[in-house]
Amino acid sequence: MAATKVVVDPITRIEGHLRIEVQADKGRITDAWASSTQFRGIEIIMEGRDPRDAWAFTQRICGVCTVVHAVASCRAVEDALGIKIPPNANLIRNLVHGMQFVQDHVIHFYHLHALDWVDVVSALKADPEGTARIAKSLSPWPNNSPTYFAEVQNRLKTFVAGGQLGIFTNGYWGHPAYKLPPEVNLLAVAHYLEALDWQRDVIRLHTIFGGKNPHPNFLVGGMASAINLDGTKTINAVRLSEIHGMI
Amino acid sequence: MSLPTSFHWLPGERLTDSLTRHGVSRREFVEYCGSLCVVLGMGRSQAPKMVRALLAPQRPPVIWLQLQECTGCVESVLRSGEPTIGELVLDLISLDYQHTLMAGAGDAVESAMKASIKANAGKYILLVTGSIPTKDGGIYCTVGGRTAQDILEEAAKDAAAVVAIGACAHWGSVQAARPNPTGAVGVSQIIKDKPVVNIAGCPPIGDVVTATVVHFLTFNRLPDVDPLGRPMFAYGARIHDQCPRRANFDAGQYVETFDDEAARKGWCLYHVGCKGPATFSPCPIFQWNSGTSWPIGAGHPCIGCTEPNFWDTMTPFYGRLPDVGGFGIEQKVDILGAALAIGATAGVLAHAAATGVHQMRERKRQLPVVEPPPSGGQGSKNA
Repeated sequence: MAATKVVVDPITRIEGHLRIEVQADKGRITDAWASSTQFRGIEIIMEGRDPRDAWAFTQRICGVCTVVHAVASCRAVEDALGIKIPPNANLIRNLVHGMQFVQDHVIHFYHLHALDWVDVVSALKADPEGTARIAKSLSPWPNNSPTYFAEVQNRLKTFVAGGQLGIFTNGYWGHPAYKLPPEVNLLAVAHYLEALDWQRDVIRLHTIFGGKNPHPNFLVGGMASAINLDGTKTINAVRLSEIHGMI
Repeated sequence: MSLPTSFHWLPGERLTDSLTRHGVSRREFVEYCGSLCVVLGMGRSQAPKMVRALLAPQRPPVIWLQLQECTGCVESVLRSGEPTIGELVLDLISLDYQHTLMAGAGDAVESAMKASIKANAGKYILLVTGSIPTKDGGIYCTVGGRTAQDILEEAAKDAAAVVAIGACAHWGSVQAARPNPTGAVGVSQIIKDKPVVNIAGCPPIGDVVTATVVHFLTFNRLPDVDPLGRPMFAYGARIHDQCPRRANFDAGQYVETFDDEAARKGWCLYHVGCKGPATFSPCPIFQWNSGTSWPIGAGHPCIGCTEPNFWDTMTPFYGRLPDVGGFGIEQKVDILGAALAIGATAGVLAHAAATGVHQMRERKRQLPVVEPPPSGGQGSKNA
């Protein structure tokens, strides 16, 4: 095989825009280049602005990891000004950050990364009994039953038979680089779908403390979230019990 | 979206059959359509029409372009919908191109988009998130070696409808803030030969996007919009007029620092920078993330993210809008308060009518530059 150059642009299932170019010779990669093909200039835009606003600008760097840039910005301003935040604010930030960490890992694992090693079409050939056996060996989740996995498989069958593949159009289905057996592929597809519902529910912790997600609100010096267990318009006993349920 | 999230059709099956198979009664579905009609500001009488439209056998194709952006709007739409039937609405479209979720990459997805545009010319819905950088030949955002502007113009040409989702697609958002290094502009500044609906916000509430798409599927036209292209059903009311803390504003009860007694009582956030008096948004009504809360509900002032140029006109975010009290309407607070004392309904109606007139005027006003607060501002020792 002669020297070839392969360009993959866009790289999908990421935040932002990415182009990968690979130089190959006799089937071996000899050189590679990665380019981020988007520039916004947020650093330039930040110059001269009120430092209390900085978190909101830096937060917009990424709407997937929508907490981390904002927290980093608040901490930078607080460090510069020698501000020590109250213990409750620290706890709230940690809860918000912790939920981002967990929720984003699940989104990244299933909705962004999984299709690189999960062959969705292969899941159609799975034996739901086998999938249930594997699932039971991994967790005590009540839905680890042949009936459940057969239902997911049926859902997938009707979707594929409908002919409109949507986001699964032109996937690399059947490629030999996919190594997982059909039963594990079915397990992963089931979890992919479950995770869509799960992520929408747990992220409500951000909404309680930050008012919304994506891009919850932060505050230099602490958190705006006012806690008053007896209040009607504040973070009260009902809200705290909701949060307890999510954790 | 065409995610197999919940319900799916067997070949040749109608939606009603699918619903029955999944234990959803037709009555429940009709009721759901009725409530969606109310959200869209059309009244329940339109529900039968929506039911008919949503029972169409083929899912209409949707192409979603992501240009110069942060993916926050995509994430917001992923959080939309009600647990069961709401997802069904998402399943009513075939999402033929979407970077964040598509399995393929590179040529595989670019050819999928081209194929869908060709096969569905004049029929597909184009959703756009992200702005278009116009400086230096558009080099600040490219996909597959093509500029954002080039891609947008091609995809918009044969679209049945164009929906700009989020502040970036609306007017450029954070990257268009002073000094706008990349020359970022919104979709309607590039696409001028067809109407563009703007789902404003940074990000917008996902349910507003869903409702707009359902409106198009039902009535084969986009919803009515305000002078900024925002759907009236969502952006027709000012936050200040829908705010549960409005009574505190009228009574002069303000939060002065985020850790004071007023904050713990949930009083008005106007003095700590709330831009609710200058912001038209569905936040207080729709609320965020399955109706959980919204920024003011969490004790943080509104930053005005549904308004064009808010990164420059609404900052400092913790500075007070200087002349909200000078609109004239707030000077009548005492009179309206008396009306409320006589009859709540009469008072609310009077207030709404008076405010509506001011809303029209307000749209034409250049938002004033806000003054920074006195030194040692409120951000220093909070929560």
